[in-house]
Parts: sequence; C-alpha cells; structure tokens
Amino acid sequence: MLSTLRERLAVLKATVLLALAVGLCGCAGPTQKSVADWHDAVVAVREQSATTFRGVNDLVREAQLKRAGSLSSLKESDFHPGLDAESVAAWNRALDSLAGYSAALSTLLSPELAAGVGDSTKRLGDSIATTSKSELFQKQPGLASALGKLGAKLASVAAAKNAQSIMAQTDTAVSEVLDQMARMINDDSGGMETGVYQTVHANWTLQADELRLEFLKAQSPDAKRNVAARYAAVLEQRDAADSALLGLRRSILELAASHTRAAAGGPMDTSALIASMREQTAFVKGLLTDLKPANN
Amino acid sequence: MPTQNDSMRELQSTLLRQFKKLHDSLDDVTDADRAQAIVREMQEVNHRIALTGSLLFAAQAKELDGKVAAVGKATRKVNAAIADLKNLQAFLDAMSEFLGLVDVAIDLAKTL
Repeated sequence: MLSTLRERLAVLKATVLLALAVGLCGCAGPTQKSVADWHDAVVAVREQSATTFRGVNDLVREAQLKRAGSLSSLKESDFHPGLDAESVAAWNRALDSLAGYSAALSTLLSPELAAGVGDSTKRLGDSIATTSKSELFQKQPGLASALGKLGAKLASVAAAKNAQSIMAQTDTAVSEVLDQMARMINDDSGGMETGVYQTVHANWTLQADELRLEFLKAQSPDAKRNVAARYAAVLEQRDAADSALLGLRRSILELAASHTRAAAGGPMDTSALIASMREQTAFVKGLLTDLKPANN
Repeated sequence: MPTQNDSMRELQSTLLRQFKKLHDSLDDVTDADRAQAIVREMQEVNHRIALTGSLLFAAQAKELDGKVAAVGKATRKVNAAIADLKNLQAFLDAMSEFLGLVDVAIDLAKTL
C-alpha cells in the first residue's frame, strides 16, 4: 500500500516538474504560424518584384524605342535591358533561399513533427508497461498517454528553442540580404540617390516632358486639352509606379525587421504586410495594363 | 577607396542631377524647337541613367549571391534539427520494437 502511494507520488512529482519545465521554457521562440506567415510574405515579395521588374523593363524599352527615332545607327547598348535576366535570376535566388529557409523553420516548428515524437514516446511507454508488467502502468492506464503528451510538448519546446537559436545566428545574414535588396530598389545613402526607383522615376518624367513638348506644338484649345489630359494621366502613373517601388522596398525592410524581432524572441507578425503586398501586386498589374494604351 | 558600385552610384546620381536640371529648364521654355532640343537631350541622359542603373543592379545582384550563401547554411542547420527530432522518434520506435521482441523472447522461454 505504502509502496503504491510512493510510486504515485513519484509519478506526480515527475509530471509536475516536467510540466513546470515545459511551462518555464516553452514560452520563448517563434510559432509555426508566424514563420509560415513570414514565408508567405517572402513569396509575396517575389511575386510583387517579378511584376514590378516586368514593368520596369517595359518602361525602359518604350523609352529606347522613342530615342531610336533620333539615332543614325543602332547598337546593342541602345537596347540594353533595364534589368537583365541574370540579375533578376540572382534576385529571385535570394528570395527562394529565404523561402526555403523559412519553409524548413516551419517544418521544424510544425505540431506534426512534435506529435510524432509524442506518439513514439507513448508507444514506448506502452511497451515498457507490457514488458515490465508494472503495476503502476496497470493502475494508471493513462500514464503512457500522458508521457506521450509530455514527449510531444518537450519536442515542441526543443524545436522552438532550436528555431530561435538558428534565427538569432542567421539574423545578420538575413538582414544583409534584405538590406542589399532594399538598396537595389532605392539607395539614398552618401548624399546620392540611386536604384531602380530612380530609373523608373526618370523614365516616367521623360514621358511627361515629351507631352509638355507636344502641348507647345498643339494648335487648338481642344488639342491642348487632349495633351493636358494625357499629361495628367502620365503624372498619375508616375506617382503610382513610385509608390509601388517604395512599397516593395518597405515590404523588404519589414521582412528584415520582423525576422530580427522573432530572432530576439519577439512577435513576427507579418499578416498585415502580406495583405498590403497582395494589394500592391494587384495595383502594379493594373498599372502595367494601363501603361501600353497611355503610350500609344 | 571607392568600389565599382560607388563609382556607378556616383555616375547615376550625377546623371540624375543633370536630368533634373534639364527637366526644370522646360518650365521657362515656350518655344517648341527649344523644348524639342531639351527633350532630346533628356532622352540621351535618361538612356544613360537606365544603363548605369542596369549595370549597378547587375553588380549588386552579384554581391547578393555571396550574401545568400549564409542563409543556405542556416537552412542546412534547420534541416539537421528536423533530422534530430526524426532520429529521436526513430530511436523511440526502435526501443518499442525491441521491447516487443523481448516480450516474445520471454514468452518463448516460458514454453521451453
């Protein structure tokens, strides 16, 4: 009788201690959902940048064709792509690498992985009970199941701690990649302004100024009004293109910031970012559709 | 010492300033021929802005490849952590199987 009581107390103590250990260390680390959201945000940035870069190349090609009208001969450099395929591929490789990294983190943090360890722990508990013919297991039929749950929780805590530790070690590299990508879009450091944004802004400004020239040549008030309307539309498109590129840059920097927050044990919420990027991607697609009629 | 990227940044930035000057100068022009000359000049400067922008983007993309290697290393670490958990699960399953075999052996011994 006394022996059974001692056994029960020992089990109770062990369970409480393990549960406390899980409770104390289990709060840290990123959740699978937040990492999966971050992964989705990376994929959304890839989609957004692919759409935006297509727009950049269309815009640059349009300007090259107009300029060709005043050239005496053609050279390859007259039709250099705005963003060459190899560089865009490197850009995509960087995003694919970040997507692969976050997908792996998401797998590590998945409840299924921890549940697998839990199920195996329960099966082992059952096997021990059968083999040892322990009275304790017979009197406490739920013990193996409880051990299984505990095993799953411990595996989940270990996975979260591992994930956070790897994220902390990788944070500098992730930030460097994303900062570099943000600078490729627009870099205003060192008293200079450079990047894709500048190329796009100049191209749209040129389109608008070509219409100012057309306005000077217009003969009637109606013709002037017609040119003015097209001029206003181009200015709107320029503003929209500027916003799209700055939005892409902001998204990239927000990805870096949310990774840093999660690596430090904070929240990694990117759901609002994804919604904003999807909206921007749809907007840029619309802009690309508008681009052609505006120039015809 | 300035890097190749710094030089290209400086060049694009200089071209952009030149482009802006030409753009601003259009504000005071009412003569179409004069405006035509300015716009043609803007087309030339704009072409070079796009060209240097493209070369700068290409150079920065090459640097990006180098930086991405560290992310690949982290992915391998995460995959190793996943493998550790799977190995633990495999170990637990092997132990259960082993104990099952022990039971069979004990039952067999009892019949001897």
